[in-house]
Amino acid sequence: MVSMNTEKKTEERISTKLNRTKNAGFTNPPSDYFAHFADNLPLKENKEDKKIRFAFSQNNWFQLSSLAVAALLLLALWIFVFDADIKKDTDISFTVEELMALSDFQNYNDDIIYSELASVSYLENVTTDVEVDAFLDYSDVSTDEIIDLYSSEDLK
Amino acid sequence: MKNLTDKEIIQLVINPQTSEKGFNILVKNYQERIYWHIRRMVYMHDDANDIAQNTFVKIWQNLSSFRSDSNLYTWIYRIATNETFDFLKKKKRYVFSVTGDYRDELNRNLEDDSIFDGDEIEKKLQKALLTLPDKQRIVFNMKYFDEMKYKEMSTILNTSVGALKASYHHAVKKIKKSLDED
Repeated sequence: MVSMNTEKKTEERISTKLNRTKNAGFTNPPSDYFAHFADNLPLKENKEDKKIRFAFSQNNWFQLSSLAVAALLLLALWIFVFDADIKKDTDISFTVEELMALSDFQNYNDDIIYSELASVSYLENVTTDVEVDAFLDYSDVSTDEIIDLYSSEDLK
Repeated sequence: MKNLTDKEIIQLVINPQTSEKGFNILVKNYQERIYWHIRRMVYMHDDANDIAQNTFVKIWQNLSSFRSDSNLYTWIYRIATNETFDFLKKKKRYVFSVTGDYRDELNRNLEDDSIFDGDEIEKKLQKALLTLPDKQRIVFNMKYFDEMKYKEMSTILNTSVGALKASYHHAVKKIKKSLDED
């Protein structure tokens, strides 16, 4: 376990080796970029978001279609194999808000859906704020890190 | 011109007679901080520019409904952060379908002089940061480079101070491991 003291030392070690600059080593934008940034904002002519575009070739569509078909086959297999388990374990009730969240993905972001479902599935089993945050906000943290998080004496 | 407070800027923006002038002042006050906040997450100038533009367009569209008792600074950062995470999600999906791992692409960007011209230790730090989940990466950036307080970060990231401390703690731990390996 890394103590807060070690954390400070690591910070100092990083700091002594590099200048803590806001650009963190990245190249500066063009020299007149900030002078004209406000003038270039599409405020009037385009009320919508500036679309972020990625180039996409036909091969990629083929690749995506194959992935979609594979995903459907896997889903069918999963339902077929685990059907009995699903029926056995579906004794969970959802609130109206949760069902709305599930059926209305357009207007809910995944954090909202996740946290609404989490309130049913997980919150009975967790006790501290840190644990709740770990479930709600840190779904991309590994199990080891979550275990580590709960066992860290420094944070309690 | 004297430096205006956020409240004075909002008043200027809300008034139709002075809205453009007020918004220009707002942009000038925040553009650089917001740009670097985004750029350190997405690496490429063009991507950072697109996200920064989206951020300020959304602020322009929604400023009239902004609650005056809220903190403008954290609101702007929060919108910028959400826009950045949205971009990263889309980019990851796209890059995965075309070339594989988005982090590999970011790693390659660190070798590109037109994107990154820092020294070796700065590059090592960025490479170590790339091993973190995006949320830990942004927590580290805000604490380390922007020297932001946990309480401010808590409002921006909608996460408790305890969880942020935990996140920063884990980020530093991984960076230490990464630096020790070199």
